Amino acid sequence: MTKKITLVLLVAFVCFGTLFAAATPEKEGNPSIEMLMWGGADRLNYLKTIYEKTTSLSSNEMANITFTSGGTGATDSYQLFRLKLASNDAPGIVFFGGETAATEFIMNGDILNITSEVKDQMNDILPSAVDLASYKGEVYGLPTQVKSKVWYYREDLFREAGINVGEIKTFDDFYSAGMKFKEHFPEKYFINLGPTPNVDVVIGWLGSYDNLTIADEAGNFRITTDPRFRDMYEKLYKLATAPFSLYVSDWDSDWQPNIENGTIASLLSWSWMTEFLPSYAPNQSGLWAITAWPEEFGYGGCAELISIPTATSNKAASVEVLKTLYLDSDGAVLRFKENGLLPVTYSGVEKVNAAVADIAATASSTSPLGYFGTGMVDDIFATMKYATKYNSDPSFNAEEAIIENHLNLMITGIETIDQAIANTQKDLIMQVGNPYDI
Amino acid sequence: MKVTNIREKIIPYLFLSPFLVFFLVFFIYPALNSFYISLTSYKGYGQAKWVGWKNYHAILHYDVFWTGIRNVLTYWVLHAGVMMIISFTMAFIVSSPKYQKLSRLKVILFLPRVIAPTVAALIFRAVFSSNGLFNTVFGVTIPWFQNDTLTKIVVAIILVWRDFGYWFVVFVAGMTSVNPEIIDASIVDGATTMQRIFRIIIPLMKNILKFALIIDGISSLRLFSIPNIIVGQPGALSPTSIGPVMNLLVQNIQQGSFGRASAVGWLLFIMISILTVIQMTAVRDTEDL
Repeated sequence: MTKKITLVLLVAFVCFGTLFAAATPEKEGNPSIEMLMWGGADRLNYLKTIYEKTTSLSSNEMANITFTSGGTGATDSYQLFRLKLASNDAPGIVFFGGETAATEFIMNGDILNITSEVKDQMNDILPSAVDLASYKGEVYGLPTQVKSKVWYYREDLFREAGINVGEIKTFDDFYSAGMKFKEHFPEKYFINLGPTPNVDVVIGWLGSYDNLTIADEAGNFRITTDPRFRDMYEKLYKLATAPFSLYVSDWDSDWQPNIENGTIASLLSWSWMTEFLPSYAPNQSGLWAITAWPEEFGYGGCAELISIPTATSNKAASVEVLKTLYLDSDGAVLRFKENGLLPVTYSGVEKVNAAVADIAATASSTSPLGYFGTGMVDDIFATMKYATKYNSDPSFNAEEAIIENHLNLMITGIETIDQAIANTQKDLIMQVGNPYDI
Repeated sequence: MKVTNIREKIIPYLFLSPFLVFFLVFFIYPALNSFYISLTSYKGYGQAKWVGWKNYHAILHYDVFWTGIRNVLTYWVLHAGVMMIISFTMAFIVSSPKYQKLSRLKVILFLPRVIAPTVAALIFRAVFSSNGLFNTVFGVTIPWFQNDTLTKIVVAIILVWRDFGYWFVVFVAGMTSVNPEIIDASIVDGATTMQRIFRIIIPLMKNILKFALIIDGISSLRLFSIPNIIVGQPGALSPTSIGPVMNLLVQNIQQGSFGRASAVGWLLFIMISILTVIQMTAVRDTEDL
């Protein structure tokens, strides 16, 4: 009886298998290059339009480039990337939201070393961009932008409160300026720092210290042994509980309304806010200015990294597409016009500078250039030039989530600073183990 | 005769085979495979490295896991009782011959259930944001999303709002199974409304209430989207202090720790099984009394 049942099931299996095989279209061999990124249809169409407008690739070559979204967030696209690697269907180009996310794949040998392919252009690429795209001295991709630590502030309010950002060099200067601001504007807030410091905040603050790493090269975690972590936790706690700090986290539902209604007067953020701020507070065009984070906070940087998987079937073509899309200086001008993001090459920045007056003449007040004024190019570029990479290990994503969790518990008062530091170390040891053992 | 016999035995299995094949291929095999993966370190591609029970050990020693469990139990406690009472009361009213006209409300009461949890969360996020509908209408400045306790209350409100319609329909169906002659007899005997509810309807609907309690408890353990959308930043999960236990599973998938994620899944499965057994035993014990 058992044998009969097995036989029936086997027959059914074969039948269904045949049906499935017949229904699955065969993949036709074509030289198309798949770009794996994240975002909805809007983002994909937007990027596609930018590439079509800005590249010197022919329409036939462009037609061979397909855009695939892995989901709404960068982490969603990493999941699809893993799936594609597992099924031997590696894309031609893969986007990483931050270079820290690429470390694991680079260490695992899944990302192509393109040092020799870009060596001729190396002198033209900003050293900070090369640094962000490198791992142990080898280049593993190109950054679409250098994301630098930028302090956005309401110039009108700061002037009225008598605050000169140029004089703010240290944490104590920053804190005093915050108090001064609050005295002048009791209803407004100097900055915001809520219960959920996200990855941007964590990387921003880790990057404030020279060569601060979560673990040493042997894989030993340093949260309890390196006093700079205590310094970072204490400063974040002090800022979150300061009277001049609005207890709202970046990107949460209360953030944008408080920027728009003028409650938040400055943002310790990253250069990508140049793209968002005009739509967040369209009524404040011309009122915001840009500068680097105070000197003591360092020049941290990160990058949206575009890389080529080693398992891709058409490496040479992928490299060419990558270089054409991101190193072409004419294209850089058009991209800047579209989204206000500065290129990563000197020649690109030079061309942008040459064209900035013309672009500004036709820019709307809600475009980055119209919103911040032509000075934004120099201001942002100044922060980009010095952007330094945070030296992450391959388990950074897991480590960062643990740090984020204990910062949240510390800021919400569930853990003391001592407990937060000790528990971060404990969780890193238990949950991550050796960060290099991937 | 023999051929007919074989055919009679085979045919039922052939009819069952479409389901069995799908069940084996898409449920049993992935489930068993996920158990194997839970005993390995696996990035989602390449070779899985055997680590034994290490993933389970790490999770059981991780505060985030227990906080997640505590959070979903809090959500369950906050919403289940209120929701069941509202659903049952509405079902009783609508089923009552006195209020026949109100039966038209059935569709309206069920409508929130049709709305996707994501959409419901987005609506309530707008309602309870600092300058949202609630604060504006009542002229208050309650920081709903900057305080864990308040955020949990908002999540519970959404759960009640969205789910009560479903249980309302289930309870209405359950009440139709109560023999109207018993109700009529109780009225003739002078039983009050409360006596009818507590002495007749609830005891007769015990199985349905048991079902509701178990299913709602399981749903709570699997809670994910609502707390994350309410306070989560775009593309990110909500903070641990209010996050459901499912966040740990998703976080591990996002970090490429598929072994750890599978272990969380299996631990959740075990917890759901235990919860179900406890609830069934508790209700059975009550029946025996």
